[in-house]
Amino acid sequence: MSAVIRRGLGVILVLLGVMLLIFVVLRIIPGDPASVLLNEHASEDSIRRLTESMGLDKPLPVQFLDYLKNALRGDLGQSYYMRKPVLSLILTAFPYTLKLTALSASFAWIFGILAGVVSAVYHDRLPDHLFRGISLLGISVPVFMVALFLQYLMYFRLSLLPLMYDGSFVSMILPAAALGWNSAGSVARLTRSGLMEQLDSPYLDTARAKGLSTKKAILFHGLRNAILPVITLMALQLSGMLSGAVITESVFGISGLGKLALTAVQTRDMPLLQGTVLFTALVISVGNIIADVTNTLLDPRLRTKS
Amino acid sequence: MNKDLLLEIKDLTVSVKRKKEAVPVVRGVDIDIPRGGIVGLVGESGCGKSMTAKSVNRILPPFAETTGGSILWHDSPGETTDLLKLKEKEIRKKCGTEIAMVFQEPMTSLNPMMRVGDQIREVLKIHKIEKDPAVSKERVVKMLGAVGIPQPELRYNSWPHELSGGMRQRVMIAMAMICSPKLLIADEATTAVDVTIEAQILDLIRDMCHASHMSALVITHNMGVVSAICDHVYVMYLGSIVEKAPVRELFTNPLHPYTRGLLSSIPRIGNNPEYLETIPGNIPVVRKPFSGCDFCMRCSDDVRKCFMESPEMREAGNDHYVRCHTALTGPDPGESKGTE
Amino acid sequence: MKKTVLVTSAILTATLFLSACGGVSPAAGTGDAPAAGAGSGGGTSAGLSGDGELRIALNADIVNMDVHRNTNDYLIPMNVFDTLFAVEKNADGSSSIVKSLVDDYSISDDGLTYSFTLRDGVVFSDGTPLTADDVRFTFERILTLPDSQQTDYAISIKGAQDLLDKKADELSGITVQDDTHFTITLAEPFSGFLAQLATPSTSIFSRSLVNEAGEDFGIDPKKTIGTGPYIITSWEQGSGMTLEYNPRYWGSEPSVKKVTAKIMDPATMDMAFQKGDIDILDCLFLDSAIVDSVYKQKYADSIVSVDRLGMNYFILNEKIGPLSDVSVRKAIQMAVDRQSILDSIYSGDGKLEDGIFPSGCLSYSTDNQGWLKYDPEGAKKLLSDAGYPNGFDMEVSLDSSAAETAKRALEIIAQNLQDVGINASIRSYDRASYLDLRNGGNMNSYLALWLLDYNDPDNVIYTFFGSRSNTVIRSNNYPDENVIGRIGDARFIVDNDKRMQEYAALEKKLVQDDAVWVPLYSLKHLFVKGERVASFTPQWAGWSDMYFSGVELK
Repeated sequence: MSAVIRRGLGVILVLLGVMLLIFVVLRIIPGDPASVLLNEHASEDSIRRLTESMGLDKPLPVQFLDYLKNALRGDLGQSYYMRKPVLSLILTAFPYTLKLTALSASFAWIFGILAGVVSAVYHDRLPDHLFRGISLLGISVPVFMVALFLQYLMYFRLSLLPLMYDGSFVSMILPAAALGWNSAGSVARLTRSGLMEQLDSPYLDTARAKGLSTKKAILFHGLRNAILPVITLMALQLSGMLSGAVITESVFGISGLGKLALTAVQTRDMPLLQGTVLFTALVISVGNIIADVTNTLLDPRLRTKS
Repeated sequence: MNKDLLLEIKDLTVSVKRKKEAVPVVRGVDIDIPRGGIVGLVGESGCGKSMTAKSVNRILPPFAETTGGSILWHDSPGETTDLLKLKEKEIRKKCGTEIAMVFQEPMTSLNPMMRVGDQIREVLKIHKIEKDPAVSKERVVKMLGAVGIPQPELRYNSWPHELSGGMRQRVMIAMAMICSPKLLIADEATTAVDVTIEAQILDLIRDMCHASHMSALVITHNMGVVSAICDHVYVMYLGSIVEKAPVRELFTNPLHPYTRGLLSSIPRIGNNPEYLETIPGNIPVVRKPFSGCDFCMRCSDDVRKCFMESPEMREAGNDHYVRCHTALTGPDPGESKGTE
Repeated sequence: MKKTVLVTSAILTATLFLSACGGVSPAAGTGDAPAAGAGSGGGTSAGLSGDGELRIALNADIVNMDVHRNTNDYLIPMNVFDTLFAVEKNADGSSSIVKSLVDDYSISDDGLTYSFTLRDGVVFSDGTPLTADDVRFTFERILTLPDSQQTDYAISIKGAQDLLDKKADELSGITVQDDTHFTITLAEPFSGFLAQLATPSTSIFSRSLVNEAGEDFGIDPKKTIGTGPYIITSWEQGSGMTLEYNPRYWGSEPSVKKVTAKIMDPATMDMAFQKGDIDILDCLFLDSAIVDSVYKQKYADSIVSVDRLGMNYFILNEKIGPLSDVSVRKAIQMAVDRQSILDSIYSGDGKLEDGIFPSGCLSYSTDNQGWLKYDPEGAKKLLSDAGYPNGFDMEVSLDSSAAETAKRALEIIAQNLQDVGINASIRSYDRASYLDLRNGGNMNSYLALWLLDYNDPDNVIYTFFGSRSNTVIRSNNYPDENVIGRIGDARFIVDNDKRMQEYAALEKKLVQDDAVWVPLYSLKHLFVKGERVASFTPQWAGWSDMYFSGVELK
């Protein structure tokens, strides 16, 4: 129990640190939000007026403390660019990212584990090479290219799937595939290597001696052992996806967290940027904790020791 | 002599794929296992005894395969099946139910991710015996008690790493015995445990065999184990059986030079403490085809004939057989090739 | 591992083959309706999205629909709101200002007082009637909104400065007589005023509706209400928006009854248009190589082009190094091979410009054209005479979010400079840092594009040289206070001919005598119309934003 509390405190510290860091960095780097907002029609006067109205002329520590005070009350400020409360923008964008992540992760993990198992069982034969090739492509080809290629193939040439996300489930398939391919590749490789390690284990002999066919022995006994590191990987992948897949969301027109963060960076929209970074830090911290906890829960050898 | 045999291994050959070559590691082995009898198979590491055993319940590793011979299973007198001719599905049916195996390393032979009770119960599940989970659990608990595990209801839920080596081996035995098999194969079952535990395990095996008229094939490199529980013993060298006899007969009258070497290399209290008897040389790694006796390189009784001709198995009386040119007649002083 | 690589290559080749088969099915399916994409191999092009729907693609989302708060996105102001006047393009290519919300008007002799009569019976799309008070409200808001970006459009009205400085709380220059009659008095005469009233920047808002909407005005489609031909039915931020015809619109019913605008990146737009899922494609967003190889070949008959009212300039910062020497700047003017940029990057779709005012602009002076020739040898000589025989270092700043064409143009310019011995290097900045550097007056040299908001010379010349702070913000740092003063004064010259003459003189002084920048070219803006579009008239100044009422569907 105290371990959980300790982890919780750790997360809070991380979040505070992140807040401070992003706050300072944003104000040091070149690029002033008023200029960006006013764009081509800026004049010295209008920039000054806008800066004042944004409260950016106050001294740094004052700005930070104001922000902190508000953040504790749940008010993350208002986006300069989009003129809406940051928290509501994030909460509106998150469900899209969540949907994308859910579909993406399912695809990645199901395909990844299947591929890994087949690869291990038929190792060094055709199915293995086939799946390893596909995994390699997934890991090495950048998401942007994968996304464009899938669009070209599935929409342009074969007219099978819609071009962009329009709210329907069907239109989420391509983005999920594009995003998931990379994760699938990692999962497949880790599953394959993990399972192959187990293939020499004596307990597989025991299982066969008990009457299990080789294939069933590998699946029920071998996989159970090999899957541990894969689950940790999956938990980490999940938190990565949840922080927003910028490129996938941009290409397919999904208004998720990644797109929001990108817009915030480009427009130096400080409240929005601070908000999204904070949210991302939270998601990743929690994801890491979940990964650790899952690992401990699943491996009985770790459990009884603690 | 027509004994009531449960298993007859006839002329079994097992080959191993090494760099695209098929190298035979079990060469024409014959072993008879009587119903209710405990047979020992003895030899150095690498002589092929494990491969022989694993051919019976077909758990050979992917790089090995049986290339000849037959394994006759006499279900009941009159009903005989060649195990080697059975399909995968059919042999799996026999595994765990009629033929069971106990392995050497219980820590790695048990799945670290499953509770020991569940692993034993899995045998029942695989073969669809006892559908009712409560009843099957009860049966497992009883078995755990029978193998001498204290507090079996609690121990059911233990993880393998929570048990000591001896306990784990008992679990393995419980797993093997749960369906009352006709044949128990113990592959180096006590090699990894200490001497006191070894004695307990051996007693357990012997008692269970006698109690249920179960046969056992005990594979070991330890002559002491053989003398403790076996009725018959087969000595194996380089894939062939070189001597077979009832246990008492072998120990009082070892004929094959290899057997004699094995027996004399057991350290005895009272003998010279500084000098251990050994058999010179090692098992050769690469087995080139050789027309003479395999053992002649390391044999001290060899004659010129041993290089040229491979000896046949010959009876020496009292159900004692040996494969050697000089064993029955003694070395011919004129033909001795001299010292090395 | 080798085998894996072999199989990987096999997979890649196989998928390439796969993508080569399965031909393109033109105009199959809508791309809107969710399951419509499901493989109709060769669908009919019989307007599946019929009922007057127009589908377009945007390259970036609209930030704010409130035109007072942003100067980039005119799509909504142009289609959901109206202005007092409008601009019409004539058959000969020239444009004229026509009445829109205004029914009648007169200007006093001294050019200071404008009297207007509003059109009768105009209502906002929710039924609220338009009154003269709304006009007053609109201009006061332009001046009082803290983050207003359109103050330039109201600043010439009398009392505007006071309102801006918070010295007054009313705009004294506007008087409302009754619901349809009002007058606007200027502080000084300004002949560009009517043109300003014809730009989307001065869209008329409703006092009651805007106040009711509060902070949601410009953000919530349901609360952003105008008098124009369309209403916004939905806006999914980051995704796109839909507009529908406003049945209460006072003007003639347009052919387009519904507009779907989706945000896509260029490769996606290209695919979508060729598939028939977009009706009008803006070539500005595409790579010019694709425009040349695909669109000018396959869709040559569907290309609509318009001259853009605006031009590109290569700005030089007089405060940095050798650029303070006029001979050096003149040398640079001669060193740039503008024709080659125009030909290689823009396929010749445009023309060279030699001054400040581009062709089409009211003050365009043919006398000031034709003097600038590409002369690298002459440039080298000038440089060496000026004391830089071995050239000098110069930074060319690039906005990383700029279009591909701009980047390539800069590359050619940098190469031209290097050819005459100047060590010009391109440095890329992200947009915000870029603006920071430029606004501080410290950018060495850069490419500027100015598209006129309204057809008056002041709109361009004042922006760059009209005040000390403007010369800093545009990083040219032009020092001559006298000239700067003349630019400010030129706004108030009443006699149009005299005014144009003054602008011509100023243009000559700035560009030819003082070599403030390298004038480059004005470009054509190309669009491609899809199968379902009968005719399409781009916005008169060549903007990407279009008037949907100007599109005729088949």
